Amino acid sequence: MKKIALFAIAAAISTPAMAAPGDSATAQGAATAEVVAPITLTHTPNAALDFGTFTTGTTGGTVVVTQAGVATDTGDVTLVSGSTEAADAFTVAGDPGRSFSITTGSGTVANGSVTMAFTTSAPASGTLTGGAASFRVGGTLAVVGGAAAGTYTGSYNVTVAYN
Amino acid sequence: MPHFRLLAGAGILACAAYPSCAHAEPGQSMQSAGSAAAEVVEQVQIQRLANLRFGRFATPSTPSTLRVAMTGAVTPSADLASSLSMAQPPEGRGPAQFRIEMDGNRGFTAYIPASLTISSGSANMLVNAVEGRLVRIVSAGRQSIYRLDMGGTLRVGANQAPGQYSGTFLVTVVYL
Repeated sequence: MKKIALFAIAAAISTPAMAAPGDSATAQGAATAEVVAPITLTHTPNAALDFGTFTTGTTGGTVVVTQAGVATDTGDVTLVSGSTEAADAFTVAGDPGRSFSITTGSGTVANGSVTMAFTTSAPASGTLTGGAASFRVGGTLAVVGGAAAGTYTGSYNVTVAYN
Repeated sequence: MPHFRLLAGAGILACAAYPSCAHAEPGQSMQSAGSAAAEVVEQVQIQRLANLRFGRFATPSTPSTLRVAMTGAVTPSADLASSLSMAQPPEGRGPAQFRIEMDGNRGFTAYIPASLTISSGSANMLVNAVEGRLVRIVSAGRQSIYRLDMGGTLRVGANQAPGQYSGTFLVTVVYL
């Protein structure tokens, strides 16, 4: 095996050093690393953060959906009878027993040129029990008063990372 | 200075014509103090202080590298960057370190490997671009103590198998 040589000369040499051939010492070192399974995030098929069906009123307001999928309206906004609201859903896989952080961003929903902004709410962390975990995402939609009727859609980012 | 010529076998010491020169009588003997010298040097010793530790990281999806420099600086390639914030085992990340004790009046050469392999079962990873440095810790009287720091670059394969990887290497110091 090729070796690399490092040299050291004593700083204070008052007399020439006398070589002593064969005087040497050897130690064994070790190198280590731990590789863990990658963390993966999957959006549950057909799941979505659904703010339901509502009227905006003239001054608007908000629709709040909890992580459990329960919705409430505020201001001039009124959820209509039969409206269906839901929290978004994700699954996580990775190294068993390891904890991870969850970060969700904000976004907008749009219908043509009309947009409405929303923020999200999710757990800050989770644990991969048996190598798996799941969590749900709620949010708050800022409803624009008098916004045109129609179906509004949009997206937002979710990130998970090992702690 | 008196000049002496020893006649081999006769045991007679003849002097040149110096007034102060001693005259040896036949049959008499003469003694003179001789000189003897020996130099004892400190035996070179080397002791491991720390392993070369690459720490914990998640399997990357592309071939990647993680460098732990002899200074302790850690540099991951893009796919391993997020692993820098991952909780580490108690020993953390860092260079290998050795303590070298030797005679302060002597020079020495330390030999480190150019590369090594760490394994977990049948899965392997190469450590290359090995570098080292010597740091003088103490120099007092006939003893000097150095610390040898050794770093390297770990080459991680795409989808590298999870596991605890380890490998060994030798470090040798030799008096010049």
